[in-house]
Amino acid sequence: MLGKVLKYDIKSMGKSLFPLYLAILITAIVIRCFGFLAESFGVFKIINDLITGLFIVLLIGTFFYTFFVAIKRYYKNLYADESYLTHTLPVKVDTLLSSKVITSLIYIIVSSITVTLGLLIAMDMTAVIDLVKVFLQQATIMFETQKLTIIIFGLLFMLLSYMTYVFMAYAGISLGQSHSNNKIVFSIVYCIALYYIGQIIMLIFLGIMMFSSPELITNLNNNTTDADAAKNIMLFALGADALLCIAYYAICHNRLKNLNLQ
Amino acid sequence: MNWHFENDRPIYVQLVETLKLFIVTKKFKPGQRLLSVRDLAFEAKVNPNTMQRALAELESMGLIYTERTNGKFVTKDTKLLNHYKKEMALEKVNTYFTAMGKLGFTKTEALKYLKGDEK
Amino acid sequence: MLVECKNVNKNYGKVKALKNINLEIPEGKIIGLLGPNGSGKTTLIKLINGLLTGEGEIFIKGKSVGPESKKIVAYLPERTYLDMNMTVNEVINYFQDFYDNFDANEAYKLLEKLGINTKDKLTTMSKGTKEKVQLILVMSRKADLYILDEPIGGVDPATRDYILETILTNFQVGASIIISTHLISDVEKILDEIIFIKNGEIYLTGSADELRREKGKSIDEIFREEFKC
Repeated sequence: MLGKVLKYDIKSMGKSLFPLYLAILITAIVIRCFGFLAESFGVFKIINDLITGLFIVLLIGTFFYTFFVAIKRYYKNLYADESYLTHTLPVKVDTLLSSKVITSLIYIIVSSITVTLGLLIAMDMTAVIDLVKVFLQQATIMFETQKLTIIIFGLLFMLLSYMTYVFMAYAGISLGQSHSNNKIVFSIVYCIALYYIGQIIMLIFLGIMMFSSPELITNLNNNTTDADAAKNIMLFALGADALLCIAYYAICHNRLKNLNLQ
Repeated sequence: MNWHFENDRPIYVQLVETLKLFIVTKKFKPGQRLLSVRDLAFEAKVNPNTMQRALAELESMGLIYTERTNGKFVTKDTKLLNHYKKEMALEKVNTYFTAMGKLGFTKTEALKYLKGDEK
Repeated sequence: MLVECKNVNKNYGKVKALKNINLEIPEGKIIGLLGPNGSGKTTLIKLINGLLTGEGEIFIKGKSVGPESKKIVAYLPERTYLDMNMTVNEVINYFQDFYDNFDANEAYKLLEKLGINTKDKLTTMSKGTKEKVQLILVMSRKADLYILDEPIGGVDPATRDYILETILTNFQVGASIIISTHLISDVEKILDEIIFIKNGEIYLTGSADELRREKGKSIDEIFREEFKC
């Protein structure tokens, strides 16, 4: 059943996002071509700079749009008119929820790849790539690990941070929809509340950790290296995000199980 | 086929009356095979359950009979058909005289109207 | 019993939408769930379909409300609940994917009879056509229980006839159909049983014909008397 639900979630979100991906790739190619032309005809340079500026805006906007599409799908499929069909399918709530999460994950990855591809196609990225190399170099020293580990953990961290926001929005929507009136207002309020509650809980845990075992991130006892401290902070951040995701998922699951569509 | 039913009387009763009429007036010919319950119900635009009930009643009246594997058939018993025809005719007569009675006419006067003696 | 409701209550905050509902719905019957707006008809229907959670127990063929019961219940809500960006073909595939008892051939047949082009997107269709598509999809399922919420509200008389015809033709042996409506006179001819619901309580249940015989009135007239403002 999960496969079937996924099929339709992926299709639906795809319909919103693929035009954007196409636009990015085409614009990238155009910029690259204009770039070539600009070398011979100066007038193209001005046009190209303009398009490039808009292109960058487009790329940044892609991440926000991807997030928006994910949230919209969650709301539309599980709480708007369509929900009357979704919730009368012989499918468990877990499956419906999992599919939304997986699809959001898939598309942020695809968006990221598309944006990166767009950048690589559009311009000469050697300067940027050099910067990245320097950054990686510093990171390997700081964390005392391989470049690959840095890259993997770095991507994982970004992904998890994004998904935490997605889960938070999902939970906010599900909580807001439990009310009879002003559902959207409540949803926004809950999202904000969940964000701050999440932050506060993280700080509390950080505080507790600092108090009880400060040696994890400081070298009071000279047992902990700077590298270890850095790693532990990173692990803490990942762990905290993961816990938040689980908590938000539980909220969604609970609200969906005790459904009240009015 | 004129299947018309009023909502203020049991539908199955009206259905029995209608089917009886069709059979007696040979709209459903003697010995004719009837459509299935579902198809007949669809034609009459009624609930198959109601049709089932009406057919059962007609069967108990002897107007139709069931042959296990072949379906339901209209009776060929002309004597029975005539009996019911007579019965229905008498009902009509009764209705006429009751209506005329309500208008204030006696039976003799009502009869005169029937014969066309009152102009 | 096809459906059993035991001590079902539903509150929206302080408002009691359903009060201690105890109900049994048999197999193989067409049942009218009749009541004024706000009487609790839709609330009860949503509870049976799992779109609301309340107190008490509801069993459909012995199963609690969940994926298992949803397999055997076909629901036609009052609103359009299909993804409007899909074509009719896509929606049929959707139903086929999720419901084992969906008869796609039957659906295509019915759609063709109405001259509906299955390659059309739902957004391009008129309201009446969308409603017909939804009805066809629901009636093409070989379910044990069909629940139709106001199926003939807001449609022209010809469409109304078509809808009632479709309901009668797809009436599976052993299946039951619950029709919830306040347009009683259009629908009462085909009802086996009726349930009157008022202010969240079951007011009256019984066989339609028996009630007609008893009171010498149509169900519509009985309803108007009982629910006089």
